[in-house]
Amino acid sequence: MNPPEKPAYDSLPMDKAAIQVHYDRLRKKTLIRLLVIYLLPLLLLSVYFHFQFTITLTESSKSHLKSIAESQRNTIDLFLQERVVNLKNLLESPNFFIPSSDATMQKSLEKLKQDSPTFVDLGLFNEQGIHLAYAGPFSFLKNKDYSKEPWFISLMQGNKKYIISDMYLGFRKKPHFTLAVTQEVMGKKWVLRATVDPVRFADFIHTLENTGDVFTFIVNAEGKYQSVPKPLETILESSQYLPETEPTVGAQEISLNKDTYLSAYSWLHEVKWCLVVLQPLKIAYASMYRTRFIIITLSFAFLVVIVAVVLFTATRFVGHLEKTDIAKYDLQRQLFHAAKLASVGELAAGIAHEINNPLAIIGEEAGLLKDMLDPQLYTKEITPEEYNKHLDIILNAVLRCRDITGKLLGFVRKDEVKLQSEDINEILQEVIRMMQNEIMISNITVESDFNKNLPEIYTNRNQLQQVFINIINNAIAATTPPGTIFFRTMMKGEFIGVTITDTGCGMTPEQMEKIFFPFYTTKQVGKGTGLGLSVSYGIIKSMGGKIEVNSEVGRGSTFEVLLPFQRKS
Amino acid sequence: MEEKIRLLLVDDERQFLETICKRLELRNFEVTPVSSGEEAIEAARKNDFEIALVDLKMPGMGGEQVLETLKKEHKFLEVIILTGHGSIDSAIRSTKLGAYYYLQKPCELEILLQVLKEAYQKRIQKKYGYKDEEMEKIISRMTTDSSLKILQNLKKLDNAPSKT
Repeated sequence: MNPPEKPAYDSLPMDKAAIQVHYDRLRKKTLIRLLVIYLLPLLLLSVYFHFQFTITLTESSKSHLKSIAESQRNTIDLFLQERVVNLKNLLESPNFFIPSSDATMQKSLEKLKQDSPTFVDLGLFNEQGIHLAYAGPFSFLKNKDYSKEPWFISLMQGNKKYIISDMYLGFRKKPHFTLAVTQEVMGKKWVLRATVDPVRFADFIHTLENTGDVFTFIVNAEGKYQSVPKPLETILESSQYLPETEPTVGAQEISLNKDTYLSAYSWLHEVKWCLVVLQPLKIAYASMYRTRFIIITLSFAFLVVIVAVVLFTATRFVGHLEKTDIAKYDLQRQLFHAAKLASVGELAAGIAHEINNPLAIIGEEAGLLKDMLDPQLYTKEITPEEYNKHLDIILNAVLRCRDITGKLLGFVRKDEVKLQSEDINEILQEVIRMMQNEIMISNITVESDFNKNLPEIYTNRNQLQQVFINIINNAIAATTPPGTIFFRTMMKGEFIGVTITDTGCGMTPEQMEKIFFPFYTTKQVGKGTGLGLSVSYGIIKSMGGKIEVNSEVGRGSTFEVLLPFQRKS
Repeated sequence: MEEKIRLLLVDDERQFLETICKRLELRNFEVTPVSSGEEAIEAARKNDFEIALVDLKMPGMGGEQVLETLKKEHKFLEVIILTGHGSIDSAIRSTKLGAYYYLQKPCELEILLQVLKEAYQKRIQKKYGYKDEEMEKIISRMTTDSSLKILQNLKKLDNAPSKT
């Protein structure tokens, strides 16, 4: 039958260092687990909020900038429409005669400039593209043939009554752009055109910027600057950035000149230009960065608090456990010691009785010697040989006493925790010798069958002796003379097996269930402590072995101790 | 002719048996030493003994069984236990089985003689039906304190069957 599921002692740790190593590991594990449990949700939540905020705030920043771009585009569209209307009004005015003189043109230009100071000059062309009249700073333009100019060709071929050109250099070799309207008078087409000063046009655009943190510029369909952002390129250079044409309004992050910007664009209606608004990311995302900073700061603060709490709690909790375990270990050691003393006590009782016999011999021999010296009792001549003979008997008895006390001392010698390579047969034989008298006097025969080829094992000799003594003590107590105790050692798989079989009274299954519990005893009150087998169980368990028991009422019991032999530490 | 008190001595410890035998013989006892229970019972069947000294723990038949058998088979034989393994329990058991006294080794000879004397007194009382006061009178008439001398006087008394 196997020992009960929950034995009195599952195992006795070999030393306190092992407990400490165990708890250091436990402390680390607990810390990691608790930190993961507490920090993971917090981290996930932080990451989620972070992304959510980033998306929301990016979108809101983008739509904000997009609305700025759209409103600016509307303003510019409106501006261009107004300029076209200015020209149209002039052309359709009853005071404007065709063909008109330079003086009239000059007057008309001044009127135009009142409407918008962005106008530079004014010119009138016939169908053939000849510059008939001019007012403005570039008088050499008069009489030039504009028939090959792209804006002129577009105006003549298109079905629109006006045209707004891209920025170009033209005959004057200075950047400008043209607004031109056409009208038929008496079967002939006439073209009135004005040019716009890019600097003033740019100034107008910059007034739209309002706050200092956005830059606005315009590019044409080829990506050439029509107006420049203040800190950037010069006019008519190619922009590094050309917005897509579809959708006509949009926003995205771009990088220009190593800086990153949030950009919004909107294509103009009046001309194929695109208005672009740039805002440095730092400014565009300022509120997002602020929120992100708050989230990170708060998360970090929580993290620190949680780590501190977890550290404190886990350390305290595990420390408490460790203390309890060390206390338990100390208690077990004390119990082991007490149990050992108890088995020594049982052993000592037998041994003390054994000493009485040689003492009785000494007493009687001494008495006989005294008798021999008494002339009333002893009348014969006494020879020195006779004296010697009796003194030798006394000395022999003294030697017997010394052997007996030696056996006891051999067992009680200081507890050696050190493991040594030991021969199980030899340990068992020593125990049998130690208990031989006790066994013989109880009319018990010893039989043995030792396997001579057992490997040596690393073990605690003293503790193992204690286990065998406990089992043999029980065997003697269970036996009504005459009986036999049979010792056998053998190999059993990875174990060395020692069986101790008695022909005693045996045990009922109920008793067998309880024998390894502490303080369970069938001996009379005062005779047994009930610790022997429970402590033996603990000792063998701590060595990595097993104790098994088989018993039948009236036939005897067999205890089998199994010890692993591959335990070289 | 002076008759000796006949003692049966049972002990497995031969050296002890030999020595105590010698000392008792010096004091005029007739001692029959045997070293096992079986021999003791055999010897008691062949010879008459007045008192038996029995050890308890012996290989083979134990002292308690010897005591029981001797008391059953010999009406006036007094049995004294002399053991090295003394305990209260075994003393009580022995007394119940009819042992006159329970002595522990090592034991002084004077005390053994004292106990032998008292055991012999008991034997006489049982055998001749003396009451305690009568026995006391007999002892005081002997005018000696020595257990050995009283024992010898008691032996003489035991050997005078005319007395009633």
